[in-house]
Amino acid sequence: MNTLFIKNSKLFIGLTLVLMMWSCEPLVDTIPEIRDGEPYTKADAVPAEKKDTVKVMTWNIRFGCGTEILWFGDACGERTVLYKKEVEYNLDRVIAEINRIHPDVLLLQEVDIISKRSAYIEQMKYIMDRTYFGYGYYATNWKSQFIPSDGIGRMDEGNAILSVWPMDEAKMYPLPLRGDVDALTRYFYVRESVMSVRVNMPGGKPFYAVNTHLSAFSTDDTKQRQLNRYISICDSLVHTGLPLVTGGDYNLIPPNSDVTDYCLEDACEDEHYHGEGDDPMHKEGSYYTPEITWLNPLYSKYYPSLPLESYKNNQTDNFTACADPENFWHKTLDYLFASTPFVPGSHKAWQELRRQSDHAPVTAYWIVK
Amino acid sequence: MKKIVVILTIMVCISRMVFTQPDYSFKQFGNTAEQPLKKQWRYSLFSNAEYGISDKVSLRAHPVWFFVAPSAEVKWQWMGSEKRNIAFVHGITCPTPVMNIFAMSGTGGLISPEFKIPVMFSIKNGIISTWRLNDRHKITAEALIKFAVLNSKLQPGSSIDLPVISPRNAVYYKNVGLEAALTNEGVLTGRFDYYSRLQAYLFPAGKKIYKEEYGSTSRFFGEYTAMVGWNISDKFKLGAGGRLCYGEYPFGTQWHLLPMLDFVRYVR
Repeated sequence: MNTLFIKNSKLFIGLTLVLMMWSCEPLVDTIPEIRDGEPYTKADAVPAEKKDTVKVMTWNIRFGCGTEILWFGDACGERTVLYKKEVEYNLDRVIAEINRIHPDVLLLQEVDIISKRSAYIEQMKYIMDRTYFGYGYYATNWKSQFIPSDGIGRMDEGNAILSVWPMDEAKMYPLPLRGDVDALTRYFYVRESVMSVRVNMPGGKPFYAVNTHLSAFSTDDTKQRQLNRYISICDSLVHTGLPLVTGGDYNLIPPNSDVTDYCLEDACEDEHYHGEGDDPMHKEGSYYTPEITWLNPLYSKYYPSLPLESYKNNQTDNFTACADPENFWHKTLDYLFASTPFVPGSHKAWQELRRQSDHAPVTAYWIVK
Repeated sequence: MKKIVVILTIMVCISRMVFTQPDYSFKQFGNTAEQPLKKQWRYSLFSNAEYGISDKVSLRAHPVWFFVAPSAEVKWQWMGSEKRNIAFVHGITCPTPVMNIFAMSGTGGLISPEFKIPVMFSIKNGIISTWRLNDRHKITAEALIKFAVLNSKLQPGSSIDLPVISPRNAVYYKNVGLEAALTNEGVLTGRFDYYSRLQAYLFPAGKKIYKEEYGSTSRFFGEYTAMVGWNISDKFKLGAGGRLCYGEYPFGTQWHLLPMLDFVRYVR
């Protein structure tokens, strides 16, 4: 034994170096380039029958937080780590509504995969196991082994596309990072992304489904840069000759909205805006006035499920977002667009679902041509 | 070309200086059952300092860390000889102050401020034995049992699920923990020493509140530390290397490799 240790005393140094090469993993996944989506297809999945009009739904499910829990930041609360029973209760409510509304293609935002804040629940698997969808893909947009702020800890949040038909060509495209935060914050911050899949309806024409979630709290031109990239991705997919349906949580209000400033409505008790000496003058994520025209290129290139005229005439019925559980929906942030028209009048914001998330789901029937 | 010659000359000079030094008396980096001389002490960056109170008893605590995470150990030598030493270790640690520091909003908040950190202590008892293979190499084995005492519930969500921290904090979420370690230290060449330590942490039981939240996770952690020490002087050793960590965290198993830099200074 004596000789063994003495003879091998140098061996462990070499072994250590080999192990160093083998196990290095970055603290933050900076998502530097386009990558494939992660499949969640069920082993026993059976494709649904072909349809001429597809029911499409988008929903930011807020990682199973619901609205009764006062989340820190936008909901003015103190909670940053949820209990397992809370997340499961909220996810079950979300799932019950998905199964009731029964879309053919579902675009989800803010799905957590084994994140500390949502009790390390694998939400994509949880949802797939409890819904009728046979096919699903997930693409992260915020992945860090540990976020050293507010006890957030481990994080993997992303977008997902679920379908009753097989999908392939799942891609995730990273979007520009926030330009209005310091380098350290930017390193750990949500990176936002666009995900696309090709949906292969048996006996029908394949089409692309694209899902995105744009920056919620940027105060510079980040969202515009993200939106431009998103539109260019949609354009490149449309150029393949296949139809495309897209949507998500854009964190932008329609260009013809009557109200563009929500600073005072969204302010927490200890916050002051618009007053002399207030710094910042406007609340992050609540002041849309400088951004009001940014969605125009999307409206001019693609068919909206909710045309601007329809929205103008009935804004309150089409609001989809509000973080404060005491208030009703008060702005529209969630959209569906497509390269071919939707069934006129089929757009619906499910405003009765006020407790499941700080966003209402939006559905529309899309004509696949 | 001129630059290359200069660099090579410097490298040759350094290597001659480093490798042709006469041998020195080997001193350990890590824990050992051997007793420091009375009134002799050593301290380092990450390990507890050790002070010889008598020929049989020494006290261990960290001179800086003590004020944010109070921890103290007493080592009592039970059996000592030229070749083999056996000692008992008894210690107490209170992580409450440091956990309260990190339970805050904003950057640096490793724990959510929504959690109240109770007053809590861990008490450890163990045995440590060191064998001298010869004048230049030795092996130390340790076995410890830890118990946690808390004045109220510690919510599982307050855990910091990171390598190095998790195995040392898990006892507060699990009540009881077992720890074993095997350390091999010795002279590598000239003024360079090696240090290698394998540690295993086992938490066989779990509190109900933890199980409800994270199931039967955080039961086992392992660490392997390897460092090369440079004896800059007879009283000061600088160490550099890495630590390979394995853990059954609440989110699943994970490996990490962390760089290590430490020193130890011997004072009499």
